[in-house]
Amino acid sequence: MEEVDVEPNITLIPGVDFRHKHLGFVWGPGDIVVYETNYTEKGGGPGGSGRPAIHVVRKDEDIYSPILRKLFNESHHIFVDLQRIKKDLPSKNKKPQFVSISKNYRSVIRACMEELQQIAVSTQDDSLSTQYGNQISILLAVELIWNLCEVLFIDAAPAGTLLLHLLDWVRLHKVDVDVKAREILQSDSPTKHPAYWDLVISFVLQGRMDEARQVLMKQASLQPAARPMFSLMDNLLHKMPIFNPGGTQTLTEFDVKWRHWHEECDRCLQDSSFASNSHLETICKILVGDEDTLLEQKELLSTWYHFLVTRLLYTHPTVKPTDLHHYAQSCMHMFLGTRNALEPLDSILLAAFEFDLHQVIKDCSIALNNWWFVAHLTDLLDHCKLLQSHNLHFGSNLREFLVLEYASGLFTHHSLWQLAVDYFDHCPEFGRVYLELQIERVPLDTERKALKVLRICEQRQMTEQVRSICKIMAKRALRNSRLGSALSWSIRAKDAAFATLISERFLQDYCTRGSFSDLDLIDNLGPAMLLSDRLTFLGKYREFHKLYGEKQFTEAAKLLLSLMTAKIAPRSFWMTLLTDALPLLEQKEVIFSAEQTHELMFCLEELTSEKCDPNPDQPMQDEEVESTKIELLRLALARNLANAIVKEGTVEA
Amino acid sequence: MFVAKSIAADHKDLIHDVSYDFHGRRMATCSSDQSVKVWDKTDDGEWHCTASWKTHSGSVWRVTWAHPEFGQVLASCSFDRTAAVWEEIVGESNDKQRGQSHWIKRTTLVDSRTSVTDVKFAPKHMGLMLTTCSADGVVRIYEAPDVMNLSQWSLQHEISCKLSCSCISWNPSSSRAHPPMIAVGSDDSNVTYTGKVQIYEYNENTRKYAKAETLMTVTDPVHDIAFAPNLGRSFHVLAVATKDVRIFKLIPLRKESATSSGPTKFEVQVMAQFDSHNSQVWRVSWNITSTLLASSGDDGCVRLWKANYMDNWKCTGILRGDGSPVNGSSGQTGSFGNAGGVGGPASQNSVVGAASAGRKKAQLMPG
Amino acid sequence: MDCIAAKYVSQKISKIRWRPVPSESLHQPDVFATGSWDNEDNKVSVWAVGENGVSSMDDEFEGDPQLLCETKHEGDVLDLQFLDQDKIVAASSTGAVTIFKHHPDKDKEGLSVAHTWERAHRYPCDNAPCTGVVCNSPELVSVGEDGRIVLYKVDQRAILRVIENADSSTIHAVTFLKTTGVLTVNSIGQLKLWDFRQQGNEPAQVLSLTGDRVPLHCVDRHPNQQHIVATGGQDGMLCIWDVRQGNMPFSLTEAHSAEMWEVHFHPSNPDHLFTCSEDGSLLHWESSANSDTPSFLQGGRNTSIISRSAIAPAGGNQSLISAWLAGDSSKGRLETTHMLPSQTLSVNSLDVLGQCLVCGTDGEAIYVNRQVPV
Repeated sequence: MEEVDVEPNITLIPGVDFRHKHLGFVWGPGDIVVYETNYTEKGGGPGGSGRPAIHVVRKDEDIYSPILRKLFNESHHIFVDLQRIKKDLPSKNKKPQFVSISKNYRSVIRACMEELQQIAVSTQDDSLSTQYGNQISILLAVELIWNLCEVLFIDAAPAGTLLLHLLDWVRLHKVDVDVKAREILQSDSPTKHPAYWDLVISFVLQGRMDEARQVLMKQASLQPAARPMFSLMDNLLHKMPIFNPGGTQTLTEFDVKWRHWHEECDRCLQDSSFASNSHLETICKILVGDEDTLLEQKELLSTWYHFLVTRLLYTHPTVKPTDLHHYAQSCMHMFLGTRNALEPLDSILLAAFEFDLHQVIKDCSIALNNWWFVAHLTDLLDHCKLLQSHNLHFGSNLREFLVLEYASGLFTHHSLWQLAVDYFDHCPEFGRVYLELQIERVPLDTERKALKVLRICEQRQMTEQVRSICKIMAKRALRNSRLGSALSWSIRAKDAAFATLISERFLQDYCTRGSFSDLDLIDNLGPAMLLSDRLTFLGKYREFHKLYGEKQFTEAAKLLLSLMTAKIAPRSFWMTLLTDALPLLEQKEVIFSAEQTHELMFCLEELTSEKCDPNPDQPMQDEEVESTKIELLRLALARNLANAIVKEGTVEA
Repeated sequence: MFVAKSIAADHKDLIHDVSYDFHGRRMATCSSDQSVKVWDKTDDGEWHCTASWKTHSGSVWRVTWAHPEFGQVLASCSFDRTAAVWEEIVGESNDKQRGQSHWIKRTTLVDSRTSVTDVKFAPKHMGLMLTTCSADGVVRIYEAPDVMNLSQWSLQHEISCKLSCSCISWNPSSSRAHPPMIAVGSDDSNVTYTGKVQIYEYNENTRKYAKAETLMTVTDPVHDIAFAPNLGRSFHVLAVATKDVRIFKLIPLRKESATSSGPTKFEVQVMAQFDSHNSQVWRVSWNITSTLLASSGDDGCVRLWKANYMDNWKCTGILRGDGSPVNGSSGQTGSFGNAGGVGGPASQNSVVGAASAGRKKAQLMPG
Repeated sequence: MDCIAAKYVSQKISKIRWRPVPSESLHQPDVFATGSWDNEDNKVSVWAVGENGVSSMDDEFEGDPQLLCETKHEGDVLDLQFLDQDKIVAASSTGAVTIFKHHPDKDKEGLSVAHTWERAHRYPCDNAPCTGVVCNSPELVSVGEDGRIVLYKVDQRAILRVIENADSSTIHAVTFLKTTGVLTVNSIGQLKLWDFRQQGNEPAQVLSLTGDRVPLHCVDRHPNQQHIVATGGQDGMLCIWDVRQGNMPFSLTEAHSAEMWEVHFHPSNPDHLFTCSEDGSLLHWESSANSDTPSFLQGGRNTSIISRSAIAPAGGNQSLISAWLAGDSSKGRLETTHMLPSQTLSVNSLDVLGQCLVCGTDGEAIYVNRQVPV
């Protein structure tokens, strides 16, 4: 497939001298930032001009249009529905579903156009109204192409029906006929209207026989003399056979009937039945499909594809899909002449008539500034298994490439990024890794937003992203002195190291203040406590305080001791724990058993033997306080041991 | 594309680098005026300078953000032969309310004897690591062992490249199949006929970086280098800014199990090569998903490159100054609004032309 | 489902609220307000449906909401409440609490800022998002990620009272329980009751599911029986609590497969309950009681978990034995109905008044149903 060379678009940056300076850049989330610089400057001295500016360049204008946003949101719905259609259904049964999905997409485009139309009319701002006008034109083109693709590829109508669909297509997109009709028929005397005959012919060109006849009647009633001629025409128009796909008639039968009618029209022309009225004669020539006459109606046809459909209607109403390209090419050349270079829209439509799907998609992606259309259309065609049947071995790659492009575009938008997730989900090859790269960069302004992002990651088992997001939130909470939140986030991140760090902070705060903060959290850690040793200690230590507060001294003592013997408490905290034991030792009642007291004494010795080297960081005074404390402890322990032995002996005795 | 807004950067001299933070809500700029500025995006999408301070005693070449998991941390490098690490601190003040933030220097890395030309944080899965390269031909890898204490950095590795270094890029792949890998570019113009891009790989056994590959085909000075995000592929993609833009594919060759202690060998393929900048190319950079490569060159343009689904690369856009003379007071403030007229895509217009032909008064049928 | 009208509004809706209907009138509500989030320019907007809607006499357009007026809102709108007929209070991600005044004059309809408490919620040196507001005229209470509870009087600029460190984690929602107290829910699954008559920063009561730390995102109080509250959690669980009866909820129901963002008792027919969720569904819960006791109150303390699939076919009525109320299945039945056609993006907010229900989604759509069977 040859590449059409299109010159890249140039975006001009105001106030930057490109001849003498370089343009520095950096990728942003939805944009690219550029600034004037000079890369050859190597020295340290001042070299440049002052007061440089930074310019934020955005890629896609459309995404910022509030009305097109509705298109993106509404079509997202349809896209998701389409992906849910079961793959294993026989394709025959799916066709009506695909056609209906295609129609849904088109009706969304139409709704969007209508709204743009309304707003374009009401706006006062000229440049805005031009912008809306451009958007409308693009959507018109998009819908025109889509509709043709629907007829040719998705619905894939057979001969006979095909032309009916093409006629609908032309009627739908050449709506100025109806506007004109309304204007003329509402005027004082329609028959005197200068565009009266244009209207009749326009109806005939679109095969709208009944309407043509109605309008003709008005003229006929004014010209009693010409009545037979008018009624002859009326008869011809009335009798034109129309293929009925739902009927019993076979295509061959229809063809015979149609030929018969065609000959009748031809006879009328031969015997100059309409010679006295040039308009009726023209109509009759159109009915027999006279090329020259048709080409004379260029103004009314306005496009080559209208000409094509009209010509087929009156020469080959049973045209087969495979023959379309032949007529399309010749009609285009006849209509446009050979000197004119083709506009992109013309070549896209021609490629469609040639059933060259790949060319259609490629030309559309080049000609249209937006991936919305090609991504959705290609996806739909891929679901219809059309990319394969048209011998594009890279079919699904093409689909994925386009869907990824569209979704990546959505992800650059501060709000529409959520839509992109479902698109990435349906790109089997790279969707996941694209999502991973993009989702972790979504700014987390509030916890609610963080939760939404996390939900997306968790549903897809993106564990690294989940961890990273929770870590970022924990880090931020810590910065904001919200220890409780920081701990909650690190528990969710299962980040043991950070949980340890925050637990230390809690313990530090306890040591300096003598009380715990954030009790509501610490008291309700539950199994989350097991995340890190330090957190376990924090939770257990707090439990000790609670037991002590509730005067459950025996339980409290047991817990306190186990914190040391089971090595849950960090060594640095043992002195605090032993000091906590003091009031328990001083109770009237014996709480620590002899054995427990022994263990406590062992802990104290272990601690003091380690501490024989005086700590240079610790001032002398602290040292003294410490040794007094140790003495007190030793005394209390000895006394308790004595009491305990006595008590235990008494009980046994 | 269109210029959405312009911001007066307010640096007193040339800007050398602009860097976005991970989430795109903050921006750092550095300049010949020896300062770094931090910009914050407000809720309504406007950029405000929230900090500006003198960072070095020479031109500041590059500024870069650490991953937010490590907090709000910046690194800068300068002509003054140093690199520095900065951290935003929060106090009890109401500064943030007044739209100001405080950055303090956590460390100065003074090991280089020449201008430090590039500074990059390693991928976050490796921990908090910072890499510098300098004109004396040495790449230095530092590590902060305690992520809560950024004033302690230890020099973990010194890689001698024997050529004046201009740029470094880490391979971002976090796959276990890929050991840590860094590419170094050299702008040494004294030595010709030598490969100017070297690739070093970490060896788990020796705990050292060893040269894995030299791109022998790149003999002209290299100004910038960039690994693309890996996208889960087995091979790596590297963009190089030299006298042209080049994109290489590095395919690891399967190691023989017996000699697995040696560095990975690569099959090197050129995926694309563009010389449209006419002369030197100074910067290359990938977007997040590596679907687009941007390059800046002597033609004063930024060019955007894109591969289609068949891996054919093409220029898809050009950003260029409008050529208006720069005068002293050209600091554009405020917004240019929606400069729709600037660089509207030509092809788009022609579609419009065709589609709207003969439909000027067209009304839409109700859906 | 036919009576549901959808409108795409080009902004993700974070909150949606009906304007209260004067109690003496029998009218259905016809005006509602929305708040947006995640936009560069967020808005508070006022919409009309039905007769109040602009000119269109077409039946087809009836129910299609028409924008009456809108105003810029700095930051995400995290909560929104009508104070009275013409005043709306909004909670912002910037930590501000703002009262907007709605001028319904025909020719210059608009919203203006009546008062803003900037940085009502804050960290030592940064703003903290305000996550919820509730009003009980003339009092107003806001809560935030900073764990503070702030009490205001609508007509006074000064803040009445602040409970610092009311919570060590984020408070997600708040509701008035009695005139003198509020109930908050937080991100570690606790309900806390606060009595403003008491000084000090300690809650009067703390409830939580033992051993369960699942964050709670929303809370609503039974309109008639003030001790009954419903909460919704991160796991989509719907809990009914009797705050007089300690730590165990009346009932636990698996309602949604993701965060439940809002729960609302029907204000005049509280046997009906509505919930919406991040999973993109909006559920109508009907508990039909056969006895005189309001069904929520039947039954004792026995708690059981009812599981139901949130992806049940739309409109399919699933009858469940109502164990949020009773062990005795003959006394109460619980029916759930999906209120929205299949949908993928989060339903962030809902409001119900009379027979009218509105909801707003991350799919940038507003749905209006004016024939809710209650």
